[in-house]
Order: sequence, then structure tokens, then C-alpha cells
Amino acid sequence: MKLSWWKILAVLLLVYVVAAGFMGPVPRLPIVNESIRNTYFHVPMWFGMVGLLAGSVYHAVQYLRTGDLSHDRDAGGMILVAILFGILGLATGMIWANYTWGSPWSSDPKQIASAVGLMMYLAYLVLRHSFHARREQARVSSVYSIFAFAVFIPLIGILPRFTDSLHPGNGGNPAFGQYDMDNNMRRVFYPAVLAWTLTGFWMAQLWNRYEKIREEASAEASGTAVS
Amino acid sequence: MKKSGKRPPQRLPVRPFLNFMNNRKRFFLFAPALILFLSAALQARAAQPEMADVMRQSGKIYVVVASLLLLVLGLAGFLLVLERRIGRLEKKSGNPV
Repeated sequence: MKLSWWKILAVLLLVYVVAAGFMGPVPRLPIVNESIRNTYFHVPMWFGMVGLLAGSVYHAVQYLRTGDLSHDRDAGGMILVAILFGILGLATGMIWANYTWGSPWSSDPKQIASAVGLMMYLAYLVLRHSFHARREQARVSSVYSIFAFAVFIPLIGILPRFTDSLHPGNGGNPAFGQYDMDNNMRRVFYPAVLAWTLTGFWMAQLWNRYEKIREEASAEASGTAVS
Repeated sequence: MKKSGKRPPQRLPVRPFLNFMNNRKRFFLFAPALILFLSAALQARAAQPEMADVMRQSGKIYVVVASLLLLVLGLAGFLLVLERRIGRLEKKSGNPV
């Protein structure tokens, strides 16, 4: 088995992120204290999710252009892992919020928006699995996922910035400004985003390789050809 | 007298204090104040009983530990689901590992 360079990179970066994430220097801030280190674990979940969803949109468009079912399969796996990342992002955020904002759920605009976004993609799963005809499934879920992404990005990236929010970077709070992230943190944060995103793509790829074999096996059993 | 090997964690001016109090007049003047002060300090401690607030200890580092643990569990859960599905496929294809 030959491991692609980007999978090796993902493992090395994850090791670096966990080690430097726990031991590296961070700004000493009240209330957040050491929990500022969650920047390396909670925030990359959302970056990974958006990366995977962008990948799924690419594959959805490619499916609609070419009619190649492998593109639809790739899009489906990416969205599945993106949903997992979203749930983990929401859960780690709630743990953190309990000890900094004082409650796991404060109905913060970004919390609500990400919950709605997750719901949209859970609806994608429901939609996707309610078809028997493979082509129909691929066409409808591709169109839906493009539409969902077009709503998701404004929902979590733009709308929370217009209102008051507890999140850094929203409602006048600095995002990656001088107050909550210094250069020491950037040295860990950017590799962390890359590491978790690559890990997500790796997981999606494994899932899609499994799906490909499963589809081929069931096509063989039923005697019909599936690309 | 038992001599303990441990040094007090904070260096208190014990010797000058004892010299200062080694005077009957001063002793009776300051001892009540000292007792009041100490009891107040003890009450302040008692007002905030020490609880098992693990998550708020050590600069809330355990919040980060819990988050990372959850991520690892999430990834492990994904692997487990994939493992079971591949196992089922292997069983169906007749060549289990």
C-alpha cells in the first residue's frame, strides 16, 4: 500500500498540532485562560466542514455536467464527513461555551446558524436515501447540495457578523485580530486547519472507496452495470 | 521538637513577628485583632468550599482535553462504522480477512 503524500502530511501535521497545541505559548487572557487552545481543535472543524462541502459542490457540478456517477458518490461521502465534522464542531463548541460563556447553548447567532446549516445537510441525507433509482438520486441530491451550499456559506459566514454575537469575529468582536490570536498561535492554527481538513478528505475518500466497491458488488449481484 | 524538612511555601516574617509580640502590652493589644483577622480569613475560605471543579482547574486546560477527546471519539466512531460495513461486504463476497 502506498500512502499519498497528503495523507502523510495530514498525520505529521496532526502530531504537530496536538503537541504544539497543548504546549505552545498562547496569550494569557481572562475567562478563556488555557481554553484558548480550543482554537486548534474546535475552529478547524468548521474549516474542514466548509472545505469538504466546497469539494462536494465541485463534484455535484461535475456530476451534472458529465453524468458520471462516481462524482455523485464522491459528493455524498464528502457531505457525510462534513456533517460529522459539523456535529463535532458544535459539540466541542458547547463544551467550551459552558466554561467560558457560562452555558452550553446561548442561542448565539453562530450557534443557531450552524445548527440550521447542519439541519440542511441532514435533510440532504434524508433526500438522498429516499430514492431507489440511482440516476434520479444523483441528479436531485446534486442540485440540492449546490443550493444548500449557497445558503450555508452566508448563513455561517456572513449573517452572524451583522448581529451581536459572542463569537470572536462577529458583531464587532475581532476575529483573528491582535486581541485573540498572536503570531505564536497562527503558527499552530493554520497547520491545524490544514491537518483537520486533509484528515476529513482522507475519511471521505475511504468512505467513497467503500461505497464504490459496495455499488459494484450489488450491481454484479443484480446483473446491471453501474459506472 | 520535631524538625520538619519542608519549608513553608511562602516566606512569612515569622521571626520579626514573634519578636514584636514578645511584649505583654503589645500581645494583649494585637492578639484579639490577630484572632479576628484569622477567623475572617478562615470564614472567607469556608465561603468558597473546594469542589471537584476539574473543568475549571489549571486554567481550564481540561476543556481542551475534553474537546480533543470528543474529536478522537468521533473519528473512532467513523472508523468503527466503516469497519463494520467493510466487514459485512467481505462476508458477502466470501473472502473475509
